[in-house]
Amino acid sequence: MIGRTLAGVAAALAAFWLAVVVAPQGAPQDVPKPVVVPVHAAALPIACPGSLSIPVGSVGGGEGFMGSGSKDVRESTFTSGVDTPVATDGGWTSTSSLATEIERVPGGDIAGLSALACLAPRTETWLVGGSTALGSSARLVLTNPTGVASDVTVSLYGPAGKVDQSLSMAVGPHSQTTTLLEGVSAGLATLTTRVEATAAGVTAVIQDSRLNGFLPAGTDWVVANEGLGESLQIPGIGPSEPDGIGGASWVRIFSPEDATVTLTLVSALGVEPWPAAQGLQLRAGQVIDIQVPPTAVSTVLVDASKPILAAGYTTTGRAPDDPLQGVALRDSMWVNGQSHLAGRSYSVVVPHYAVSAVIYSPTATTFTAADPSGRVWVTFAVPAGQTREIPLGVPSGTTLQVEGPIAWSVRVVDPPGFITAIQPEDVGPVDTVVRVAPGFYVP
Amino acid sequence: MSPTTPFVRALVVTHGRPEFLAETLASLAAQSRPVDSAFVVVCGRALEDDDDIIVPPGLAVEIVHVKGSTFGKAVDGLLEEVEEREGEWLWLLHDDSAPAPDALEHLLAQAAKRRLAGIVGAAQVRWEDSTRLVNIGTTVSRRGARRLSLAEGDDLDQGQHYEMEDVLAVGLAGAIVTRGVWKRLGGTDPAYGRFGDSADFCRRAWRAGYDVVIAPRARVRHAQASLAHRATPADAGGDARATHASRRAAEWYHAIAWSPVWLGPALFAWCVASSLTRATLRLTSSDLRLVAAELRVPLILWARSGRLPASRLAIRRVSKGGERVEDPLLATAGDVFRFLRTRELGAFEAWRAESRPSDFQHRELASLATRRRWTLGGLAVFMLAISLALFGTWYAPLARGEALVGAALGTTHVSTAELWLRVFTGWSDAGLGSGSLDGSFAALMLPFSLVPGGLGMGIGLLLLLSPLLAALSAWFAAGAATRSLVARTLAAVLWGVWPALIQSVSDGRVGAVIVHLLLPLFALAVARSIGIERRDRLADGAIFPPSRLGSPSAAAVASLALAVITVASPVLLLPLVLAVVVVALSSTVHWRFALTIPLPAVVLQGPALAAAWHGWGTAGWFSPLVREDGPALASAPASGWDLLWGVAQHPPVWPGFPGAGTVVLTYGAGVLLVAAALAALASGRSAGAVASGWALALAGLAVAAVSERTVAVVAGPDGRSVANGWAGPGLSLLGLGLLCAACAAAPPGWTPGVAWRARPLRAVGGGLVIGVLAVYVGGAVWPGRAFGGDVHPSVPTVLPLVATLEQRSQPISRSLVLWQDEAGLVKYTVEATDGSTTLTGRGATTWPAAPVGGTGTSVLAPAIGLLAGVGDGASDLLVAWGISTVVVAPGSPALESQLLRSPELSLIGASDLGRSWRVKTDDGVPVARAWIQTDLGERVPLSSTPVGLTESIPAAASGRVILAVPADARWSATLDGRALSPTEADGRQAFALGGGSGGGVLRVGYYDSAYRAWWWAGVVALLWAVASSIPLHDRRFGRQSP
Repeated sequence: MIGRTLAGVAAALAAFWLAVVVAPQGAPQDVPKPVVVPVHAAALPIACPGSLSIPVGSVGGGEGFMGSGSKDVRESTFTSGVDTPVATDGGWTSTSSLATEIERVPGGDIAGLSALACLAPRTETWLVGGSTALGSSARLVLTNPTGVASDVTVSLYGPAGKVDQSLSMAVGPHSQTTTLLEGVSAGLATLTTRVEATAAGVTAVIQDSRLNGFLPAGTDWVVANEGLGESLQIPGIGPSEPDGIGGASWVRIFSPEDATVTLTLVSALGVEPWPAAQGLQLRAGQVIDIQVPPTAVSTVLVDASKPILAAGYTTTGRAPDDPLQGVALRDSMWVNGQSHLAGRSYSVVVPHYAVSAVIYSPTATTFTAADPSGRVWVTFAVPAGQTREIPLGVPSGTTLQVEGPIAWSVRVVDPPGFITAIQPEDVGPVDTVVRVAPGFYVP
Repeated sequence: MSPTTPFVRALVVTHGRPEFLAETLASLAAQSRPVDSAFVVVCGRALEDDDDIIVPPGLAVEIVHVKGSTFGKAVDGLLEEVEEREGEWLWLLHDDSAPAPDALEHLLAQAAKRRLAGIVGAAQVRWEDSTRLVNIGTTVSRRGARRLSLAEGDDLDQGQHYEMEDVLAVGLAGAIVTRGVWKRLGGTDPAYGRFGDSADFCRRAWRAGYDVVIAPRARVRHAQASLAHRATPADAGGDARATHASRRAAEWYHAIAWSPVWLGPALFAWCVASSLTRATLRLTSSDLRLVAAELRVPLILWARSGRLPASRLAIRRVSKGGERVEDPLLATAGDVFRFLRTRELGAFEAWRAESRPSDFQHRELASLATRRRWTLGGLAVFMLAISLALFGTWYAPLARGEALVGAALGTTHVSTAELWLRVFTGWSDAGLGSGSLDGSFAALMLPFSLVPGGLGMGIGLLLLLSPLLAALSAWFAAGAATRSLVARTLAAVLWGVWPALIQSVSDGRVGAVIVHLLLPLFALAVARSIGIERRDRLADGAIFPPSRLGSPSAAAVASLALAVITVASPVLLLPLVLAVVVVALSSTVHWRFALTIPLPAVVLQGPALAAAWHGWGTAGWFSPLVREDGPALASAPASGWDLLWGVAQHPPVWPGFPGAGTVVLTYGAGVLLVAAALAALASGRSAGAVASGWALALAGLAVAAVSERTVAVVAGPDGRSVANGWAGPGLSLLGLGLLCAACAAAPPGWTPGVAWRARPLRAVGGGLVIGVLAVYVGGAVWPGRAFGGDVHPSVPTVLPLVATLEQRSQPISRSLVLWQDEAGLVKYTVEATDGSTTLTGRGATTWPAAPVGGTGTSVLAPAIGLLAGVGDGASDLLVAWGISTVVVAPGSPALESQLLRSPELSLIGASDLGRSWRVKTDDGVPVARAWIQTDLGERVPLSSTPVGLTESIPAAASGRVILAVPADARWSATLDGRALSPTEADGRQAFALGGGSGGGVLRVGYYDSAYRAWWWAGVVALLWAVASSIPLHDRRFGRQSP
């Protein structure tokens, strides 16, 4: 009996050894390798939002200093290509790769100089800027320059984090939709907006208009903020004189996740002390504004523990016509945070006003601005770690292209006291690769 | 006729059987009324030496050699040399017909009584037993060819026929015939050969105006040596089957010769039909010799038909005035029916009487049967509860009309028509279409698709109820190894909750599930076929049934089961065939039947065997033999240690008792079984069965290890990834072997009068086993326990309705389905129907198959990349392959956004099942899977089916017929019957339409001749097995083995 059992066990082990050791090693499971297909994506037309508008009333209405509107509104558009823009439902589109729209409203509620770069639609846009607090209006303009309707979802973030209400709307082909965000969620002193769109996407911008009593406190466009990163630069902040007529500057920071942020102020003389901006703790979805200490035109460096978004807000003042009206009339400008240190080339179309470039580079480098045909218009040696402002004396309508890694923005000043900024944008050709593999579809 | 004394001339015709002849001559010499003259007519070269003939003293015999080989010719030959005497009666005897001493007396008495009698026949009785009748006259049916003997076979001669006189025909052996009749009729008709001449002779005698009577008291012992091929009296019984074909052919010849001329062809057709039917019936009684004999009948009839005019002439010559005087003696249909019924029922009753138990045994058997039935009922209820506890969440969705889907299954909602197309043509429509190795898996799915609710319901019920079905099959199989109810129940429960089975069900591996359900039945059928199943032991020590009878129909059932098992899992072909051969050769009973068991399985795997043979020596030559044709999924190979305990994949953690509980859940069943089998080995009972069980288990282990480590799913034209085999079938075989060993040595069941307390060891052991099994079953059905697989019920429609409508409406086209995973990889599949399935088996372009990604849908990758990246130029490639719609599955919003921007697609719908686009064509012509491309660049779409088209085309300019399938030599096209030459169009199949072709009917079709040949072979083998498995035993020939 024992012998039989042992014999059986021995036979089992023998077969076992045969099966496991001698059996052919199978081929490893082979998943079909994805095929990489390079695709040259078709270019999309760009869209401009069109004229500024007063939240209530019309620009051209009203009388005198009580009137909300203004006569003598000058609006200009400069494209990088040669084609003429096509009007579309309030705004206009163009097949150029880039354009600048600039408008000067001399008086009324939305008096100010406002400019923006007109961009191609995208499926996700972050707009860091604007406010829906008392006296502020954030007008969201969504333009769809393509032939396919797009479904848009707008989410708002404020000082307390993400706002529960969100907007959903559809923007038809070749059309524009406008929404006043203070109608969705009023009282957000600091505002960040996220616009998600299907199909080709939409071009989303916000018209940020503020009133100080009856006096205009600044109007500017907030455009798409591309700089989601842990290390950002905001060139073109300031000058900031909070106690005088000059105006103040703030840095707005938005963090999708809990993060710790440190800000550094770099002026023409180098790093300026800013103790209040060390180690700021942000909760997820929170938007905060930090006032910049008095400085001239500077750059703010933002360092965070997680990818965040940042933008700079600068106001400037001018004396009112009637001293009884108040201290100063103000104009504002928004500059987006950038991470141009990635090294691609960025372009801007220069309008016809007095334009200067505010430049910052952590290392000594040369700022070379050329147009698409290759002609170099401006060359400037940039010292390391200091902000420089140089005038750009180029004909209006010129497209300037600068290769990184340099952080820069274009500052437009129309004295007395009208300012705005234009962000340089990356409009290089987009060549994507698509990875494709066969699969088995099971619902 | 004549008042003078009759002169009896005895003629003994011999074909060379000296022992019979001696006895015949001896009985001739012993006649009470001696013969007046006796001759021994030696036919041909039958007996070379006259000294072999032992002539008894007192009998004056003259030995004559004649040339004729048949009885009639021999007699004719003799009569030429002998002069006629007045009142001469010829007494015709064979060398194996020995008359009783008073035979001649009774014959002459009858002849004297009936003056008009030309032929007086004797009652033929058995050589060995003269109380049993062989022939007391025959008749034939009116139109057909049935020859009825007026005596029931093997009837006891008790004088019940003594009043019989007029009969249609008598057997000429032992009959007396007047010489005048013989002369007048010209002897027997040579066309009948050795059989059937008596009937024709006697019937012609009736027509000529003579009477044919029988003298029932005259007995002649007839050994039927020619009929039964008996050479000596010692040959017991002989075998009547040897001459069956000739006898039947003679009966048909008689029918045709005696019917009007115009009925001849109809009767011949009837003969052919009848022989086919009879051959099938012989098949069901597994009588292969008679099958061949029945099929030979029409051929022999055809060979003899040249002599019909002569036979008819002979009949007409003697018929007086066309009267059919013998009509009243012919058998009516009622007579035929009664004859058959008596014969068949009599044989059945005789067979049953042999194995009837006594009354006391009957009561005990009845009580055993009652206990068995109650236990089976309880087991069924228990296992049904287990099935519902395991998979019960599927029941309500299935009843609602949903179907099971899974990563391995695909969709199960496949129509019977689609399955049949796949089976019959061998064309697999997966991906861009391809041929296939064989259609056996789809054929296996056909019965499931006939269930009300379709294949989805059939597969759903199969998977849902698999523990119950497995337990039932194990119950019946265990009954062949042990009669103990406890052992059977434990075996059944263990088999029903076998871990590999539950894993296979939750993965959706239908093939492995079917193997697990059928293996015990296969083992049972093999055991029954060679008669080694265990029998009930009764209280008085008797065993019932008393004799071991092998069953040919069980062998046929085993062959069917083996065929289905190998279709579901081809890797088991070799081990099971080896096992059957070993078992067959080791058995002394019916080993021939057992050797036929592997035949249908081998025929069905023929294509795979041929493919392996062709690929001998190249890499992966054996992959056709280990392939998994149906649902398959890659799995991590289990370690050898796990395989030993029957674990193919570790189950997820047991929520109730993680840690130790999970270990028990994983290994419990395997350890229990191995321990039981080891105990069986140690006990020493039923050593042979235990040893063979262990051998089978080791074979199963080897199969499991091999199949896990080899590639079972090669890259196919649908682009699915390569996968290794599943160890489930091998582990089922392992379990079967161990169960066989454990059950064979199980202690005998309830013995009346012996309490369980008297055997403490056995009781403790049984309790331990039951305890472990209970823990294991409890863990298996623990609520909230996950199985690790992904089979779940889902709505049967996979694609949006607009896409399937485009696919199905003429001209038919395909859909491209896209989705994106988290890593941004765009995945695609091409569908010709609503959803892809693996239940139809895999397509393959070549075997061993082409390398990964080399064929099939990967040609579309550039177009898909362009679509997803919003580039240009994708639609040309899509249209070229007959893709008319693009569907983006739900859950890929980025991909949807990209496609919304594409200028080459137009959105046609959005639903829960995805968004659908139509591919825009430059010329506005709808996309089709077959079209005519003229040289001017126009596309003319054609209505088609997946395997071909028939359409009239107008007079066309020159161009090509293009099919959106990969180029394959098995496609052919004809225009008005004229073959078109095949060409290639960028990898697609095309045919050149010559210029000025003038239109006509265009026929395009796919035909795989090798596939068709194997298909017919498989169908014939299966039908053979099915017919043989009907349990009709041919009991008439009384071949019962001890």
